[in-house]
Amino acid sequence: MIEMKQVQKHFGSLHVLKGVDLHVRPGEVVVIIGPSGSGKSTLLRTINYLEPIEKGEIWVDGTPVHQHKDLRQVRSKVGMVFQQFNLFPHLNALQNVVLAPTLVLKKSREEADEKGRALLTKVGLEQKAEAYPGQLSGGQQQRVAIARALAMDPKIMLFDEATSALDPELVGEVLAVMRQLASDGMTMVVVTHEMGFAREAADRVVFMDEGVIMEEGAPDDIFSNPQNPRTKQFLRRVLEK
Amino acid sequence: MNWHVVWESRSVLLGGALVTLELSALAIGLGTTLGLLVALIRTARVPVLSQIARVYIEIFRGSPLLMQLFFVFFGLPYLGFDVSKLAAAVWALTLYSGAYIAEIIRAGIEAVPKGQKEAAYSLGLSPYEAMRYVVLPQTLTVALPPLIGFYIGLIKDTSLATIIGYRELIRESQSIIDRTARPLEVFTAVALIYFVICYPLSLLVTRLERRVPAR
Amino acid sequence: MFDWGAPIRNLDLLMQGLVVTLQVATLSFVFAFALGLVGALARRSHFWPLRFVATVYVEVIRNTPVLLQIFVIFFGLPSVGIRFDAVTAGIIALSVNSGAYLTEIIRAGIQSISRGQIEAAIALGLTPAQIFGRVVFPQALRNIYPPVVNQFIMVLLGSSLLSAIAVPDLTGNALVVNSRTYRTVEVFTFVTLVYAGLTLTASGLLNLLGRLLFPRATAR
Ligand SMILES: Nc1ncnc2c1ncn2[C@@H]1O[C@H](COP(=O)(O)OP(=O)(O)O)[C@@H](O)[C@H]1O
Ligand SMILES: [Mg+2]
Repeated sequence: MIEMKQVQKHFGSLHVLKGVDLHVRPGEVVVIIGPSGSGKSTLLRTINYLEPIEKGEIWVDGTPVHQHKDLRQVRSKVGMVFQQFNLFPHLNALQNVVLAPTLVLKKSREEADEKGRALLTKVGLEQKAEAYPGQLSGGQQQRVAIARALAMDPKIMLFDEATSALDPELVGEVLAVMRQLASDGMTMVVVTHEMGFAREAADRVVFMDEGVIMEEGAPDDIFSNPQNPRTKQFLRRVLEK
Repeated sequence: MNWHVVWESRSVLLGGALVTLELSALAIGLGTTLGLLVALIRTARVPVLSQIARVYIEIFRGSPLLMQLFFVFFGLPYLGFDVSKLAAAVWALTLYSGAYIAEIIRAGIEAVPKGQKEAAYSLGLSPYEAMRYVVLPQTLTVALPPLIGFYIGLIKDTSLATIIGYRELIRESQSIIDRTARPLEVFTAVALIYFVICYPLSLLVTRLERRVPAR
Repeated sequence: MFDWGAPIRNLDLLMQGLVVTLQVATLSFVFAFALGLVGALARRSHFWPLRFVATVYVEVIRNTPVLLQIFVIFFGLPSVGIRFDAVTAGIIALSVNSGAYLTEIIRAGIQSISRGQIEAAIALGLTPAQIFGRVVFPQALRNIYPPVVNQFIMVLLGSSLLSAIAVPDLTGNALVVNSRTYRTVEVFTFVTLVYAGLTLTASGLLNLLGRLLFPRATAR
């Protein structure tokens, strides 16, 4: 579903991605962990080409994204959920959800509305369809953002620290929606600091540091028996807390 | 294009520019004084005076400067007071700018957190001292960019004095045009003079706006 | 000593002037807004000559008097064979003038939209035009609505300068009534109050419109 080969990227003189190889199979849930600044977000954002790359190849569902081909089409197939939600504040929850289906997929208003309400129900917000983002809690906003991404019938969902901006008591409701998605068989790439989620929901955990993938494997192997000293050090630090 | 006529009239143009600068300086000085006074009356909620101040502000911000200029220039003689063109222009510009400047300063005063005044009182400062040494200095950082922005507008607005026949820059340029029949060249020179006066102030506003932290 | 009936007896002429004022101001504002939109986009363009032209436009207009701009268009351009009647010249001058201010206002509004908003729209697959029209511009307009209303008021008041090129607006007709009746104080007091009432009404109505267009506590 996603095939990244030797992906390289600089920000000015900063080498953020130093030749990353990543392969994600359909239906797989891949969780990326690693210290902050290691390039996790950048890697995720290259998948739908929010960040252009300099070297290497990225294939998404058979489309060579690195060749700038059919970018919009690829993007409409790849849902993305941001740390800061990025809901459109001038539109209510339902309008946020139906905007892209009507504009990009050219769905009729009724069809988009019906599907939008169903998705809001799925994320537990059927009551909040007419509420504006400013009237919703962080957890509710993030669930609307997930519904908005799902409204495009994506084949892949990307999550960039979707719970990091939330108050601790609101993290659970968003993780629950993500777990549900994972068990529905969605292909997911998730950057998170929630080790509990990684352990339970991931098919594979990828540890990134300084722009390279240091180690990857099944959650049990990574958490119980990490091989790379960096991984050990990182896990010791985050699991202590 | 015939730039020769502009060069030949340079002393007339520069003389006009000087008159414009004088008029601007008078209007800025008097308008700021009046504006500060009105702002203080309004923030101190002086009874009666502060209601009068409000009506004054609404009328002078709500009607065109040109109307106010006509009022002073034609109206005062009608009431039996003699006014020169210069006096009429200065009066109108002062009354007009006082209303705007009062609102700019008031907004600046209100932007200073209330705790500042309370802290000053608790240290034993009088209301006058609190205003003079604590609140107004802080007001300045907030109010200075819009204030200078308004001064730029006021300098340009002195051009309206030409309509009542006061010999400022534009009036002088029109007399050159009457002689030479080269309006575009002369107007271009006039525009350049205004630009040279106003643009540095505009740059200053941009710099100050960048420095003042948004509250 | 005063004869307050003088302006009332000439109400028809003054009201004709008021209508001209409203027409000229509204038309000028609409053109100015279009100019401001184009100017703002040009100032954010990746193509530097476009940016340069827009910047020169904004700075030249904002640093010279509007009266001079009116004179250039009405008295200056005929010397190179471009002639407009007074009303047209006036509308052009006011539009060009206000367009420069609106360029800066709209540019600031566009700039106030966070990068994340645009990225979210890109990630959903919207086209650049859709991103601007459906995500960036509506939010920008909400943010800049008060200064935009203020610009309209400025155009309304600025239109009085067109009396200097003999446009029969409210100020122009006030001068006519004044010279007919010699009731200077009465006529100018009346007209000043009409202007003040007009600007209060206009800003009141436009603020109401703003509350209808941008409802509720939708800001984050
Ligand atoms: N747009 C950008 N411009 C310059 N540097 C950036 C930009 N985005 C990220 N970086 C830098 O790239 C590095 C990797 O960032 P990021 O991918 O966000 O890391 P992570 O998500 O793992 O915390 C960091 O050092 C960050 O400061
Ligand atoms: Mg990150």
